[in-house]
Amino acid sequence: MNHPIKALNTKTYKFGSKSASSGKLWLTGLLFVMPALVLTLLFDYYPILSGVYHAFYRWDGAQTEKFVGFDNFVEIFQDRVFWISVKNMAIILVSHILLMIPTIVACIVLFRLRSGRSQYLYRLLFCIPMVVPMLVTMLLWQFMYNPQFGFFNQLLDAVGLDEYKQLWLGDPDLALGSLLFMGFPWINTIAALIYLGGLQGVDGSIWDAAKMDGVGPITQALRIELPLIKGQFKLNMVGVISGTITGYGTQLVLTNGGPGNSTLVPGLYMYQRAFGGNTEFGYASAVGLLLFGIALLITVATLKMIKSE
Amino acid sequence: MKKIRLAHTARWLPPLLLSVAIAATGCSRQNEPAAGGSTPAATNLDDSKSSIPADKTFHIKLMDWQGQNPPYQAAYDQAINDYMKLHPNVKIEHIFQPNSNNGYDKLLDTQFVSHTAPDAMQLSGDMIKKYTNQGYIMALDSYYNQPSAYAEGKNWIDTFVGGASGFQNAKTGNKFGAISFVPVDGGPGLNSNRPFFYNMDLLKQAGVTKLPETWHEFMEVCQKLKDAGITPIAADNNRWLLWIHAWTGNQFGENYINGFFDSKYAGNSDLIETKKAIAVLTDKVGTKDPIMNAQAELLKQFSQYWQDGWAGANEQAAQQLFLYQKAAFLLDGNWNYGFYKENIKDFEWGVTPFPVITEQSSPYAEGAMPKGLDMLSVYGWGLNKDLEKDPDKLKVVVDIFQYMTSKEAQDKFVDTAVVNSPVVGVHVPEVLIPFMESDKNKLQNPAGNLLFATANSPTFLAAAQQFYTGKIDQEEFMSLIGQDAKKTVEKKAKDQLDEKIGIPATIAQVEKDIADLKAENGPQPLIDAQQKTFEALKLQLEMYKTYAEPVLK
Amino acid sequence: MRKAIAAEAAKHGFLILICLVVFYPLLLMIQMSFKDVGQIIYAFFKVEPPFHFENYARAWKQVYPMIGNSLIISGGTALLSVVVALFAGYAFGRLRFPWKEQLFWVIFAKLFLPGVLNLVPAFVLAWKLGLLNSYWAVILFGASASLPFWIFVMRTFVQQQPQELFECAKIDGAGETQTFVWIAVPLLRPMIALLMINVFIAEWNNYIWPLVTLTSPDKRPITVGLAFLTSSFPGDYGPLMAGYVIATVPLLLLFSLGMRQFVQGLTSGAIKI
Repeated sequence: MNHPIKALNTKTYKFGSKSASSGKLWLTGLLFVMPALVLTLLFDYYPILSGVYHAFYRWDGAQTEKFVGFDNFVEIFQDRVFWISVKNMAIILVSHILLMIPTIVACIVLFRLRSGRSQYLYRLLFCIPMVVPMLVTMLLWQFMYNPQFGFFNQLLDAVGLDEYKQLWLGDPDLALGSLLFMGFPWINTIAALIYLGGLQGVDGSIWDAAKMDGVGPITQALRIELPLIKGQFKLNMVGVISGTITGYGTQLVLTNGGPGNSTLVPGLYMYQRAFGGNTEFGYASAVGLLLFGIALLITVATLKMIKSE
Repeated sequence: MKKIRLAHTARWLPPLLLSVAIAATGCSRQNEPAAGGSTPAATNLDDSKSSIPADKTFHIKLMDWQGQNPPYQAAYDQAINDYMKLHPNVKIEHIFQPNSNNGYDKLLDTQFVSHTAPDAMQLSGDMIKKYTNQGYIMALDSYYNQPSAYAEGKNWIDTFVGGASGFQNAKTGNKFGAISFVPVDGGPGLNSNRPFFYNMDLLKQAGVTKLPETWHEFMEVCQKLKDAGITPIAADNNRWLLWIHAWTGNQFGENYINGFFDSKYAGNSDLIETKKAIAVLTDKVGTKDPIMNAQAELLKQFSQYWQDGWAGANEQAAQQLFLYQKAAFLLDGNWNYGFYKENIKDFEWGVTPFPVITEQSSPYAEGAMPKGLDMLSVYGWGLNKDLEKDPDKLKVVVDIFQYMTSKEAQDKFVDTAVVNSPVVGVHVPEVLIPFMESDKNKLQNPAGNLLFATANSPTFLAAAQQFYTGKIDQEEFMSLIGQDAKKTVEKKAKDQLDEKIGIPATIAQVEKDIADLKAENGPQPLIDAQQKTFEALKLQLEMYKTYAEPVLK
Repeated sequence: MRKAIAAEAAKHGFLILICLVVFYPLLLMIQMSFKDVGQIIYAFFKVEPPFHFENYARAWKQVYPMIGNSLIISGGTALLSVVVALFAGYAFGRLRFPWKEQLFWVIFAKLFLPGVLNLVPAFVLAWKLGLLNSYWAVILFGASASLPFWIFVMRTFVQQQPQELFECAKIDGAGETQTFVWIAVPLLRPMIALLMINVFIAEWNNYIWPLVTLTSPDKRPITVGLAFLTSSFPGDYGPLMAGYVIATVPLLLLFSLGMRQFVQGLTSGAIKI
């Protein structure tokens, strides 16, 4: 930020003479986390227990229940459709991670603006994606991608490139890519604000120093801003990983995994098995458990990797 | 209305629940006087016909999603108001719960668990199957087999098109073999024909003068359109695939499946679902089956006329294509007829019956449409099982539905909603005549589509999308479908043979029901009905033991 | 000097481009709210008369009783989240206590569990706890759902603050709670603002859970009302879009408020690096 950093306002607090003995310390710690623990265990974990438990059963959601041990998992591993969905998810995950870059770039550019007022304005405008409901985006892009009368193909027609017209969401090879492109320009507001929040501690004099060294803007970015936001990057990375691995909303609404399973992801696979007419809740729970394991593994690995840099 | 699945999964017939027996005994004792006694010949409905208690007030909650389709909503409101006029002590609350985002059945899921669900609610086929299996909605067979207060002495079930056989699909749709819904508005599946909406202007442009009646003619028309640069068909990647498969498949293989079994089982229509399952399980109908392959070939040829990129289009996109005059034919339901009437302003359009597949197009075609699809498909209103605890209220609710399915009420209903009626003798609004059965509907037991219908829906859709876009060839397509179908029936067969959760358990249940009924001196017709179920179950178990067990080992 | 202006202009240009693309769907939403079915089907992108204000009449009638409920629910959830996440995040970031890492991972790992099959078990829990048809059913579950991620965020930010700040307070004789309240919370103001915005919006858009837990119509939030504006016909989006526009206004107000806090938090109080 280019604002002058005020030193901490040294109001003299009248602190009591409590001795911060280590005995009291850990009690305070536990007390502080108690509400969070209670809430999470009760309202987040408890409802999932039934799901986890039933991963080892054949269960239709109400009455039929039969313990089958690991049979569900065996069946999952043998199902080539599951592996297709995993492959798709991997592609999406890598893409989403790469697509974190536009947000970072936009933040750095924003951060470097001189005028505080325009920064404020842009920040406000960045919030707009959060208010636009999914339906609108979906309608818009379905329209754009429509092979017969959609924007993209019409555009190609108009500039004479009609041999490049595609089926977009109708083409198994392009459907996934089309879905990924839909997030254009891939600015995630919360991620952006998290980055901006992390850049807060920077003193303006840093840039002057960099300019005097004759360092170009991109190198500046690499050397100055990026290291600062490493922590935030980890944060947003976690968000991306958990969202991608467990997510299925877009696919459900737009392509339902099609055409031909080319946009099927494990979350959707799970949903289809649970609600697709054959109510295989046990099987779906097993998929959920697997996804959990995969997501956890990837996250732990990623966090360790970033830490070690 | 929406949300249909025409895939008849091979569920089968365990017994009626003990609760059915209880409800039936309760009901029959009190209904007898009304049915046996006064049966006025007058056609106007009056209070003396129904036997609901007149001294208490009742507050009944009915829930549906008809609000999304204003003519249907109006028709229901009208019927409900008329009923309340007839019975001032009954207050009916008509609750609208939109179907968007799966809100409707998720709401019901939770309401059933907490016993706060409405007294009766509109349900799609999937929901009916689910909630019957989960034990949340009542089996209504006993009421169907008794006279309706508004039917001049006839049994309620006989007032519906096709009578008891019309409900065949309904019974096999859930594991108890019970009819657990009441059809009131036409809805999907009640159409004996699924007609194509067509764009007259586009057809004229391509030089088409006569609407196609046979499949062969239809292909010719599509070719003419294609030659003129017009997309013939507006298809989508979901509903279209399910529908086109069902409607072509069911023109193949009359009595094909019965041919695999000896006479003991072949003639018994109660066993149809078991026969279908076993046929797939024992590879009688497998990936090389000539009829399944003939159907696939036929459709593959047809698929060249579907719009580019159909595999990424949903229903709305297909409808839009038609509305934008970019496609000549669209397969849609009668419930959208009103919408098109309102909104199509700039081209001439109409409705033409589904073409008949003749031998000219395929050697295995029967040259006739299924009469079987005249069967009321599974869609309608379910009654909350909790009503069984309140017999008076239950009587009222049953009465409400008997009223709504009376000929008089339906005659008014169909005109307001522009729908065709599941009730016999009700006139058909003129615009819907192409949707109704004609003399071309002859087949009783078509076998087509069996393999495709047995496979899991997502698997089928994905494979079909790949096959009809040319990504995989027919052999791989049939192999994918066949494998999944086989896997599905294997699981089901294993379940059915299981001592704890399969047929043996339900047989024991039915035996107990019969014994209880006899001990309580229950009505004979009910005991007979249960006995019939018992026999059917024994036959099924026999079939599974004979044919399935060896294969499963 | 010219180079500086050019650089500045380039930055603005880039950002403006992004904002335009970002803004377009909002524009589309607004323009659809004035159309009827025919216009949406046949003139999707055009903006032309007649403008159908009756969409707004219908949407407003449907939605206005529920705005208050949405505000209470979303506000309550955001508040609860922020308080719980702050305490826990600070503790995990600064304090020492047994099983610190393990407890953190217990809370954090929930982020990776897919919640597809949660509805009925969660409902039964709410039912058994007697929470049905009270705002608490939504608030408690909503707040809990936000904790895994936001405690992680808070923890990270606390860890990033220079430790001297806290040491100063310790030297002055402050206990942990006081350090927390007087030092940590003001420092974390941007994140507090962010959390509140995010959780508020997430809860604002929540449909199924409020639908099934808030059984009396007078407690239901906007999303339920919006569902009544949907239709099964293609192109029948006019009233729904009008409803969305109406529902968006409180959110936009929230942003302006939140942004101010966010910025103030950024600019007040940090030690020079």
